Amino acid sequence: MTTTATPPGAPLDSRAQAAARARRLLLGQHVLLLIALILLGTYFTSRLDFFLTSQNVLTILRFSAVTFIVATGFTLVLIGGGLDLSIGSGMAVVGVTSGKLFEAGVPLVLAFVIGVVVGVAIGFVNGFIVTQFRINPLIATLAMLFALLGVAFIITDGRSTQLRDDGFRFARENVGGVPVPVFFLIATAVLSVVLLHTTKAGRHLFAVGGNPDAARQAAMNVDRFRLGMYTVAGLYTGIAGVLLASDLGAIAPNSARNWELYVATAVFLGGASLTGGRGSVVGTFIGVVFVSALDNGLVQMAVRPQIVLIVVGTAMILAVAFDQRPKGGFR
Amino acid sequence: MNERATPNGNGSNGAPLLQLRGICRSFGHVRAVHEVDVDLQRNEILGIVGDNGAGKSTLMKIIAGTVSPDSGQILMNGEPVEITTAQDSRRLGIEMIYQDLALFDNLDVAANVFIGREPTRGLPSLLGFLERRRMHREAAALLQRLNIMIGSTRLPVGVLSGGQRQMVAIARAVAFEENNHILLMDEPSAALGATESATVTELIRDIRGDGLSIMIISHRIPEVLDLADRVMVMKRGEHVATLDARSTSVEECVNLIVAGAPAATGQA
Repeated sequence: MTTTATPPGAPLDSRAQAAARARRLLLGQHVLLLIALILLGTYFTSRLDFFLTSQNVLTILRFSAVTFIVATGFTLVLIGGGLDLSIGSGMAVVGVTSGKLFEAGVPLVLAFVIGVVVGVAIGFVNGFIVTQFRINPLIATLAMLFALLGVAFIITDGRSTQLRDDGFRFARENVGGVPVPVFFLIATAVLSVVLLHTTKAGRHLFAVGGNPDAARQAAMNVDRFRLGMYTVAGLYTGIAGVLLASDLGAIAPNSARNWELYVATAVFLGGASLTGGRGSVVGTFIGVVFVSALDNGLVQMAVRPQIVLIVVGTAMILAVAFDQRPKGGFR
Repeated sequence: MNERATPNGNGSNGAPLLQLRGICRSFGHVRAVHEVDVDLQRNEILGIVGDNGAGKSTLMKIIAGTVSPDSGQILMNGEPVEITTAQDSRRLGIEMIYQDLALFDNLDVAANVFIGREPTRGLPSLLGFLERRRMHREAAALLQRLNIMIGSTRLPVGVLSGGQRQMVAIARAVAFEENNHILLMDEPSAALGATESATVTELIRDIRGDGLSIMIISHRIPEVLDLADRVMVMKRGEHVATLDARSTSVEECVNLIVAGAPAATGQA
């Protein structure tokens, strides 16, 4: 080792390092949120006999599934330093496209595949606008939110119509007692964890979002990477849109209104940040389950829906306030 | 690594490793760099000093390929080379550490060292699986070889001290040293306290000589004189003098920086 007496670059001694690691582990946002979720669950269980039954847990998971899938796409975009407010409208366009095709006699699978492709195309357009026209993603995807909602209304003439079943409502089915969307949830979670946390693409996503200038100096093509990121997020929007349409069994242009707000709440609770470079699939999962459980419990306690909105809004503020906390305190 | 004293095969022709001839660059009406000549020898540390706006950073960015000169010539080992992009300079074995270090605070030390050059397995290119364990092992070995004391390669860079961050940036720049001949550093100790900058100075001294020549911009004259072999003084975009670091003094340097003219005779 060197002869320098006590260099500031000195090794953190192992005890300090272990302490730092423990603190990061304990105060990591996942863990705090998980604790909050357990407290919430405990409270609801004490007030509602029905809350912690396998039936209700599966219901929460079923409602979480579609949200989680689109929220994971949202998380990827946030990690890469972007933002996508168009997800709700995107899901609506995807859903009504699939529904209309199915209604017109297109085979179920093909109708769904085309819906997902539409989602991917929407993601590509988002990415194209943000990277090629250099428009702030907040503005670009807010514009897309309105434009896509308009498209959904044009496709449906502004009407919601119920579809004959004929298998369209597969998202309402159970396999082995487990709702079908839960299988989609699991598959999405596993694939996303692998993509985000084990591949070079995932690593570069964190890099591009964390410090785009440094990423450029490391010879990454930041714009092309972000274009790809929005396109992949569109894939998630497509799958979620198809699942939602199937769950509703309807062609409904209004179906995913305000979803971007629920999704954003869950994702920010889960530790992702507007400043980019932070977020995780696991955090987003816990965030989504938290919001779903909150909604589920409050509704069962017969809390008025207006109050539920206020509670969700408050949770969002707490999440972002937590995100803004001085970083030094948690080293 | 020590056997790699001469980094390039044709180093025997006696030409300096890097030569700049008559480099000019203006930004609008401002002559940022005007008719500047520089010689950088093998295994040399060359300090560049001067007031704000003297053209030091622009000169360095020209070598790094992020700013292109209006006129002038760059030679390596006596042969003219074309540097118009950062990729060009990197291919020639030139690495630059910017003042902001270009680190990723949200990634750990090993990830920062390997960023953009991650070893992967399985699927090709971006979909390949990161060889995490290997990166941590090799990054730890690199830090140890450079005597950089950072507790763990798993620490996010955002929690490191200024000195540790500077050292991670240096480690990254020299990590793939088979290509590395020249390291450019812009104010490596600008944001550091006294002890921290001493540690960084120690590291810079350690890494030179492995076939690595270093150019350092600094405001801290005593530190530059202590570290460099020669010191080049610039003022208003022009070369004022190049001094032998051992025989000059802080006063002489400061006089040249302020007055802009060699005290007595012509320049070196």
